[in-house]
Amino acid sequence: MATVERSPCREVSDLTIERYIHNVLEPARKAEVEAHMADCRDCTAKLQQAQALGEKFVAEVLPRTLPAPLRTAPETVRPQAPPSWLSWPRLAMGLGMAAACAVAAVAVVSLAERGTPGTRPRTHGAEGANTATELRSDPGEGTQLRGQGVNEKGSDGWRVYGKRGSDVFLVQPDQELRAGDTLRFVPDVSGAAHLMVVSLEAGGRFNVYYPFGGTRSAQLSTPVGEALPGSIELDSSVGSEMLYLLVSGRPFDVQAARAMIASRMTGGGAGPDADSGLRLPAPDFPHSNSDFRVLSLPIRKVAP
Amino acid sequence: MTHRGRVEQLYREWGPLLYRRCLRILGDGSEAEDAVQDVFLKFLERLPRHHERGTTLNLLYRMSTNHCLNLLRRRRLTPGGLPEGHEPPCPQAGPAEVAGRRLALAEILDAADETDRLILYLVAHDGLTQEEAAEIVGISRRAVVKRIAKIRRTGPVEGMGR
Repeated sequence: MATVERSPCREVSDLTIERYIHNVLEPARKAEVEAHMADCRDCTAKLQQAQALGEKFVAEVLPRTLPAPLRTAPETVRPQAPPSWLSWPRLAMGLGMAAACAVAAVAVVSLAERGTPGTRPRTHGAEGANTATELRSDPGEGTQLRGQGVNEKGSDGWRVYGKRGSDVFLVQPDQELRAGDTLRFVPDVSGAAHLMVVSLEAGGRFNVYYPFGGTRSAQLSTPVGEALPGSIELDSSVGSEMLYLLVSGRPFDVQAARAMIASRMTGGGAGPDADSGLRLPAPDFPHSNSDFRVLSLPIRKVAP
Repeated sequence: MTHRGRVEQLYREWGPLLYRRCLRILGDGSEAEDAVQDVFLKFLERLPRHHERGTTLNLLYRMSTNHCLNLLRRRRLTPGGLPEGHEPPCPQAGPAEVAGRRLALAEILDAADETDRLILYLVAHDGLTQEEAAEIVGISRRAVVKRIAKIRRTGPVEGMGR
């Protein structure tokens, strides 16, 4: 026997339900809605479902998602949205593929570049949120630290988010990080840009974090302020490490990135890298004087 | 009230709306929780000192809808369709309606302009009137009508009549 499908009543929209719950309906409309619901099981069920979801949110979701920075940030800080950790799996490179890329990178690049022993890409996360300072570069003065979410027109910036367990935090300069912590990178770069995230460890090891294990820069494809695909998990090695975001209007390769960073280590030890306490290796490759913009963030990997 | 207390109060007051909205569009509790946090933090960045509740509701409704549509658009797996299980549980909807809504959503996500996508979703998918859509989008009803007419010229979408 054929059955006739009954369409549910759509007289009361989701918006109207919300307005009803928040008591912002005009009195006449509110009376209409109540009169309709008195005779409509569909719309009554919809209202009850919405109220139940609201109760669930308050009882279960709110306690674990009330963003951490809002509990701890200074009054004057305006929070910035952290990357959406749970969405990473859809964007991130799979571990197996990442490892393969890392191997390929080591094979192609004969210098000290490493696909990333010391780290590995990650593909999962959990809820959490935070805020704090962000890094800004000034093309005229090299990398600078500028505090608390200043977003100056015409300058590039980036944020590095860390995640430990279910806690998500904005990585501060010289912050201590442990094995198992994962990092995500959020460039705030306008216009067509090619970029690479690399790091230099105190022992001289050079890592390419984005594109992970790659040998060439990637063209920025995420909207301004959104996290780059994938994440990096720190291994158990300890010591200082400088993270770099290199940005250029043109594609560049890892040798050029190394050269650019090396050029920042010269000049009598002056500059922000020297301030970090890193003992960086002398450059052993040609200096590249290109249109790079470089932002840096020192971190310290410590034993758990 | 302290800053923290104010923030928590706002989250407690408006979080349920954001959660319902994000869950409705994304269909996944974990993703919805992420989206709620993202939208709420954006909301705090632009929170006016004085605000009227109806206006705030409209703003949050718009922000959460836009945010989730952008997420869906980026995560769309196949042209012409969204992954199975995308639609949130809706005991009142029959299979044909769910399938129809999925198709319509695919068309909506194809719209190039963010405002067009929002209007399409609100009117064709949510069943709002043009007047309600105008309130949410923050433009005049006339502007909504014009945009709908433009969308119709490029391809008909069911449910754009009211």
